[in-house]
Amino acid sequence: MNESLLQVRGLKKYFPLRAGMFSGQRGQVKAVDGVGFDVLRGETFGLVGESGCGKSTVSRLILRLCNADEGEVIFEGDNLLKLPRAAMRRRRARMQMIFQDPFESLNPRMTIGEIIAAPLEIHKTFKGSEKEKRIRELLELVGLAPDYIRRYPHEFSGGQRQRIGIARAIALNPSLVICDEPVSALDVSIQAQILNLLSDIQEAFSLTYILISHDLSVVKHMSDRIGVMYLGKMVEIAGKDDLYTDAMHPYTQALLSAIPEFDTNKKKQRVMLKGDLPSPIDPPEGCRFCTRCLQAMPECATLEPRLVEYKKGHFVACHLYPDKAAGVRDAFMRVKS
Amino acid sequence: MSNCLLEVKDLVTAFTTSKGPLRAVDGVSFQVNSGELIGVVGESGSGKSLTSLSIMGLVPYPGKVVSGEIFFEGQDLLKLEEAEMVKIRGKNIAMIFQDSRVSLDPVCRCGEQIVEAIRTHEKATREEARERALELIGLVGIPNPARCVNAYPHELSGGMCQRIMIAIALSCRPKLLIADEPTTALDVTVQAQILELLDKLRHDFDMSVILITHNLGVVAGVADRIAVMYAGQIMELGDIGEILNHPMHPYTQGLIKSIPKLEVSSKRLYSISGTVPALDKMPSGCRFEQRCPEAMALCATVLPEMCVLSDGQYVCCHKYDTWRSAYE
Ligand SMILES: Nc1ncnc2c1ncn2[C@@H]1O[C@H](COP(=O)(O)OP(=O)(O)O)[C@@H](O)[C@H]1O
Ligand SMILES: Nc1ncnc2c1ncn2[C@@H]1O[C@H](COP(=O)(O)OP(=O)(O)O)[C@@H](O)[C@H]1O
Ligand code: SF4
Ligand SMILES: [Mg+2]
Ligand SMILES: [Mg+2]
Repeated sequence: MNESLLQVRGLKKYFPLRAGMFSGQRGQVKAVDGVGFDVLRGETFGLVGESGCGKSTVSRLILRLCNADEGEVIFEGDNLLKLPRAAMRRRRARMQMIFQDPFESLNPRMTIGEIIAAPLEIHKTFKGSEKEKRIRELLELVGLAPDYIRRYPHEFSGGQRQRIGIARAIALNPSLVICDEPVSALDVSIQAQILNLLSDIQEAFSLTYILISHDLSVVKHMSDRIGVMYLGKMVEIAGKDDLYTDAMHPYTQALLSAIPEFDTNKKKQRVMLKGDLPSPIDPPEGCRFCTRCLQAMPECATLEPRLVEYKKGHFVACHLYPDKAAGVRDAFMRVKS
Repeated sequence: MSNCLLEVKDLVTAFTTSKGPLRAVDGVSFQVNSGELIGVVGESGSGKSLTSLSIMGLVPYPGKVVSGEIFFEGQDLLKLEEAEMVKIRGKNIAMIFQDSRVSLDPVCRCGEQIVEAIRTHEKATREEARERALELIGLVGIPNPARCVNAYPHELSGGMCQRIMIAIALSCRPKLLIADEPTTALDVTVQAQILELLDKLRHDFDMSVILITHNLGVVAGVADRIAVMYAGQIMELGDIGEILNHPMHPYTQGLIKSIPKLEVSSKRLYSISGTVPALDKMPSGCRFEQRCPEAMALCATVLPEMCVLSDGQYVCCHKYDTWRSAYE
């Protein structure tokens, strides 16, 4: 169970920033800046952080939907970023993605059957009547009537469209599925249906998930372990209960305390952050959180903290936790060469 | 009753379509007391925005308030001429929206927009108005007011734009502020700041707030009372603590159970089956009937009435038919 399916090391992506049509390149958006983590086989790894912190970019880099500037993505033993195109295409059948907006990701002119068949055709896994049988089977698996096969996406509600997206994602028996904000566009009463479906399917097909969400409650419910991102950096990684009861990074603490509390009896003592997220074009020196951190010390503004394993399985990047084992285990920053 | 600032009575707002009138708000009644913060919670399409637009007299064509009464300080707003309504909007009742950046004028400096708002509603020299604007910007918690006055909306973050919108809304010291999903587009840490600000301002300015949201968690920390809407109707209304801790309506019960909570570790979530019925396919009985685990034969055909459970707690469900009707 503790075997890693995916290892991400020193992943980096800067997007060029063009200010105007004629002015050429003016700086860079440091979208993902040295991110590393492991995803264990069969687990759900949650990725949480405020919008713009680089979660979607991380997932696109892993699937090579955009090219990384630096880093390694080791999936089932191979560094995907170095794989030749043809080999990568074959490998992509093993890794699928579910998006936030199920409507945007479904071609409106294709029937549900064609949409789900597309990956089967590219990878030539099923033919003819066998293919139709497989599609009907998939529709049933995600809780839709098999007869929907000839209908079009616009005939379905948001929740149903997300079910179609899920059917398409599992069509090729992948081992890894990246779910990017899978319930953020859905109504509260539909969210639970989709989250339960994701859990059922994970169990039935022994899937490994990366679940991306800005909603910590959703991530906590679904995940085994959670990584917290801030401005292109991973600031903390821990088991979900550990993260909830013993959050170490001041940003994680603030994030937890900002979540609206359900229980009105317990007026909680909020750690109220000041100000907004700084721009990823010109992120603060030192610790990226230092401009908003209530516990910042002088060195925070100059020296960048590294992500280290402070306790077993609990990684944190913050100067409040002196780097006991400096140099011994420079956790996920290093790129193996 | 002297305490009551706004009373909405049996409001029906409908859209004229080729399929006939669609009643998107269908018999909504509630009141807002002075100084209170009432949350209106419901899924998208449940009629929250339309209810507030009806109060403001801004229902978009082809929508129209069909029937009902909306008393503001004892005066029925639905009987007013548009010219009189203009005076009430902005002066007595102000509104802020989800996407503040769109509501702000992109080519006008933020300070100027507040000055304009002040001068539309009262006699003030440009100088006086400018001073007030600076003061308001400080009040809504913008760190460097002098610099912000000269900024254009696109130069500010979403959170800062929302603060400017709040400053504009406050510029005329309204008695009622309607905030329609004011934090939905914001990140959680910024959302927490804005909610705290709204809560502080309503005390400082002694104003009432209607906070509209699809997120029950958002109102839990700040509201005094909430109205839970579903498919154009209020299902449950009352004290926030009562409703969160002892929800009575099957919809509220299901909704609360289906939301993942940080402090609970469970394998599966409770989920409400099915989906919200479309406006043109509303059942004649209870609108939640097709999804309700406790539905009885009666529920499919007869619309339940609002019942009073205890002082100030209302619920619209046949399970409580033996309780006192709210209209007696
Ligand atoms: N194709 C792109 N070109 C330029 N900037 C981008 C691109 N994609 C993402 N970004 C920027 O990278 C940062 C991270 O974005 P994203 O990964 O989408 O964050 P998240 O998913 O956490 O909200 C943002 O500042 C975003 O504006
Ligand atoms: N211009 C319109 N024409 C027809 N129906 C509309 C129009 N605007 C809104 N509606 C319908 O009115 C209902 C209530 O909408 P709204 O008040 O915006 O809901 P909420 O704010 O709770 O999401 C929805 O079902 C919506 O589809
Ligand atoms: S009236 Fe009937 S269907 Fe509606 S919520 Fe109550 S029990 Fe359920
Ligand atoms: Mg994203
Ligand atoms: Mg709305």
